[in-house]
Amino acid sequence: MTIAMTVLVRDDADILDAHLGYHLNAGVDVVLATGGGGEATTEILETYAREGVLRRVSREDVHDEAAAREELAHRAVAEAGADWIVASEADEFWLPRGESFGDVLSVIPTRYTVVQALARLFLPRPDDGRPAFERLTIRRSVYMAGEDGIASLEQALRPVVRTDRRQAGRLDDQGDRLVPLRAWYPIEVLRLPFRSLEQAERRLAGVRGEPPASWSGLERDALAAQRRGDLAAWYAERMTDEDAAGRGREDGSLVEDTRLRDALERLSESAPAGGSRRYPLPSEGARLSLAPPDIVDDAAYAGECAAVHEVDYERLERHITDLERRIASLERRLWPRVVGKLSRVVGR
Amino acid sequence: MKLVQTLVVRDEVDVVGSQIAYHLSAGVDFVLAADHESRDGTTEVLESFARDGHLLRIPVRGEMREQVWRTDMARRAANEHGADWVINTDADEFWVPRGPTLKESLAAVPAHVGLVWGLSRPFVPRPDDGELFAERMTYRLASPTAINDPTSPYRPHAKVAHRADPDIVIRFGAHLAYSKHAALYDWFVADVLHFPYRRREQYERKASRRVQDKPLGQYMRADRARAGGRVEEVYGSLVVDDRGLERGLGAGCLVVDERLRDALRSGSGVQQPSPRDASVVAEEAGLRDADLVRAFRRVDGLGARVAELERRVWARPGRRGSGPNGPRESVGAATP
Repeated sequence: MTIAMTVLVRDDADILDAHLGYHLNAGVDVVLATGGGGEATTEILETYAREGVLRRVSREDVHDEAAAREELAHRAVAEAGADWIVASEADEFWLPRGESFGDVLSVIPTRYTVVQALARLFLPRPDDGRPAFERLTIRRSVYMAGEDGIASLEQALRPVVRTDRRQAGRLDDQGDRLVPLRAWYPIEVLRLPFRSLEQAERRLAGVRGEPPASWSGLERDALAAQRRGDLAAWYAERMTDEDAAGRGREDGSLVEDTRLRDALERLSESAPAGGSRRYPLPSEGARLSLAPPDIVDDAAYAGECAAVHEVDYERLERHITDLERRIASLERRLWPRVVGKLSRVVGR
Repeated sequence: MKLVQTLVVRDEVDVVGSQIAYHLSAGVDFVLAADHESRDGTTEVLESFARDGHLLRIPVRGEMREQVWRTDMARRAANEHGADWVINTDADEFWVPRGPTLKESLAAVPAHVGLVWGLSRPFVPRPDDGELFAERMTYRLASPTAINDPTSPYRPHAKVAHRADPDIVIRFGAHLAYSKHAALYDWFVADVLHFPYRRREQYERKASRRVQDKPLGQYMRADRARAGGRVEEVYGSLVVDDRGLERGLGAGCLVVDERLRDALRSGSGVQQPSPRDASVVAEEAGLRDADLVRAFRRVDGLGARVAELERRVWARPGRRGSGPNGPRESVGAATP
């Protein structure tokens, strides 16, 4: 089984090395990346490309994200033989709820062609010079409601797609034939969108028009502030300092989550002495052992999955109504043709 | 009232004797057991109950056809054994009545109703110290929310009991049945205490055989572990040690349940009816939620099949066309 990750890279040098090192050790077999940024970002990409675990894809139009995703997915299937595709941003860390991506995805029943990942939004923290994943360990609780909370399923869930070789990775052609695993999310995606004011300014400046549907209320709020010209004030106000983190933990709106920090620390510690990399590759003997959740973890996680409200009677009713309409449309298409054909045969 | 139990069993020697003895002491009058090529001593256990006149062993071979075998036994219970009610069990399930006894609980069912269910209550595996499973496994899951993981052994489910019906059809897993009798939902006649994994060897053996019968995610994971020589490790991650137990009890998702242990010690069935406290109500609601999720996922599958048909040549709009599809109902975020 081959697991491919596609990444749209911007100016992400502060986090890109950790991103690639982490995912390649968590079970991603190959990364396909497009875009770039400054010299440092390019150098990181080239380092991994030289090892044969990353393929750089050049594109003329760097702003059409949907087209970029489509091309990366197509090449992941055609060139890398991908069975599953994880479509990531450079500031996202996908955490399988098992020992690895392979451990989780290999046992998903074949009738499901999409596994969904539960998004975890980590909040901006004071910049003391340490790497972002060491500082950003406070995230929102799924149970939290409010203007910055999860407003839609697109913001809460991210798809990981089982490829259809017949479609050669053309996901738009798979379209509504995809069958999602609903109401249980065996992967979490840890999102670190704002790591410093400068990085936030760069990220938001690159957005043209409407932001992606997957953006959280916090990111949309930041974009609006940036467009008003008062991002610095917004950032200072939204900074989660120790007091705010403590209050949030107390009222249950915030959660301390050090899983990414701990995983990267373990990975870094496994680097062979004298090696040039901070995060060694599996081929260099590294092994990132993720801890599978136990039944107590799963019982708590079940509550979070339910809080997403993906499945309810109203949605089921709408789903069935849609199916009824489509079947009726099929019937209208089929029978006039059959009758017409028969009429012609009889008329001969 | 005559109460008959059906049982489909394959290599469950560590539990099957206790299971049959328990149900006979709890009010079951006769057991029909489909023995699916057992090789571990299960057959001899079944034969011992047969010799005492409590059980009919029905040898079955070949690929797993549980629905057929179970349906056949349920019909034989009506046609040949004079059953009034039938409960459908697996070897690792123990029906504990919500009322004083199983028969009294079933007798309380309104006359026009003939299908009722027992709510499955899964027990977690504990470290193996050589004791009988029921002595060690006295903690069960009490999750207030359904675990809808298709690879988990802890997904909520229920098992069907029914009035005798010569035409009944029992579906795979005995979670559903088709009968002329009416069904009574949202009321449970019993708790079905479920002990799916009891020790490492049993986990490995069950998974390796079941994965061929029905490739559920939990069996696929175990089979993958077996192929990779990692059964000890993977089974170990399922076992709840003392630290995990403390966490689970503190969080309220694990509870002490010694009913089966005490019943097996006394040899006289469960003495106390199952309490219907708040946690039971929550778990019943969890089962309804899980069934809704199952239905939604099946509709998703139908939607994909309809989409496949929509792409066939005959389904495309003709020259005079029947009009384009309207806008699709957007459901979920599961599009790339």
